[in-house]
Amino acid sequence: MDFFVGIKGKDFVLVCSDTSASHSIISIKQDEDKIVPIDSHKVFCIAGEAGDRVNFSEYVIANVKLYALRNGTELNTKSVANYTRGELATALRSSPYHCNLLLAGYDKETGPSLYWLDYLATLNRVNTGGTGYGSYFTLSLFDKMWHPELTLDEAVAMIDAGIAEVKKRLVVAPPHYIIKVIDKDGIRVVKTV
Amino acid sequence: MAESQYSFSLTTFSPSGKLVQIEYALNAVAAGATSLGISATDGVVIATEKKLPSALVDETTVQKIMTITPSIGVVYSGMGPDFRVLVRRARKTAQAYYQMYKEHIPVAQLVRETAAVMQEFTQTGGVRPFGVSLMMAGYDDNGPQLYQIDPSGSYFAWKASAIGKNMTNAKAFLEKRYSDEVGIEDAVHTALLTLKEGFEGQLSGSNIEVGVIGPDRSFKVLTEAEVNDYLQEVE
Repeated sequence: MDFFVGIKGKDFVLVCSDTSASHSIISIKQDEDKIVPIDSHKVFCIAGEAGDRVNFSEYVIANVKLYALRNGTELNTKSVANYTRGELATALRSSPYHCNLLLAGYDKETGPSLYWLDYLATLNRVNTGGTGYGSYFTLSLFDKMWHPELTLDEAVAMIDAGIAEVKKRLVVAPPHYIIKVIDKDGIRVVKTV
Repeated sequence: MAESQYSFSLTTFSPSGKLVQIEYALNAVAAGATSLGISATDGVVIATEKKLPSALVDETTVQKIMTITPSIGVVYSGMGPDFRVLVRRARKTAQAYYQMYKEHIPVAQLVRETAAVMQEFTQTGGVRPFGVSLMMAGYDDNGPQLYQIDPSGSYFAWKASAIGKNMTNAKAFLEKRYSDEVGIEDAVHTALLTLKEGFEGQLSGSNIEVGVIGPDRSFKVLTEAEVNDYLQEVE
């Protein structure tokens, strides 16, 4: 089961994903980067049905790029979030995409934002969010530790605590994780665990 | 050339490389009442003559300047009914954009989409080009903007321009008067003076229409009383 969490800080968004790719009982690889860049300052973390994840993310990313090419200007995070939700909603009653997503982005004018979407085309703007079994263990932990002026070090500490909890209490906890930050300078890897 | 069994496009090229129907459409525009627009540092103003065919027409029901979105307004010269069709389409385009992105459509994009519609009608069978030129005024993250869209589908961004009957004189007047530092209040005065140049009779709030958008990004058509106030300042 995919593990994704996101934390919005003062002027950044931190996202963490596990890095295992498996097919039923077989582990295919343990170093799969599932945090996908949409453009220089936005990422998708998509969990769910194998084919739908990649198909849907590539479809949205292509359309975001098309908009930028056509109009000479990039979409902001809110627009991408609402557009993605719209696509999920349109497909819902015919051939739904079975994906849960986190969208993390940084806009020059409005700063960092984190959006949580699910396969029923729910959209919420959140300070902390997660998908999968792992999120059951980490969200209440984040509730206790989050505050509006969160620094990068505090956020990394939160994620470390979350990962530790998951490893301790989840029967099939993924062994390896990657943590990325999105801020005014773009997307970069903070660390791998 | 147009046999009844075939629905040729009316806009087929002439030997000299012109599309004659578009030329004629531009003539329809040039016969229409004068409209103009001025882009200022902190907003845009558009204005038009509201010349009615008879004194018996109830002028309070005639609206030549229309709002497309809360931050984009438009005025025309040419055929009124054609204008109303384009306004409907533009409003729908703007709402579809909002529904998709939950953000208001940028001015330049609405202009492009509307121009694309007008171009379609120059390359489709069984239709004729729109007999209007539009002046679209809006305020978005790129600041105040003014665009002209022609029946051919070509569009231009202007600092100040005029279309319709008196456009040559009006444009010459605007060229002399326009400056890059002009604010919205001065722009309204200049617009009224420009209209006055070619106007037969006395300007008043009931025979012209003025639309303004400022930094509040809210397009407003001025009331008759407001127009009269501005006219008094200009006299």
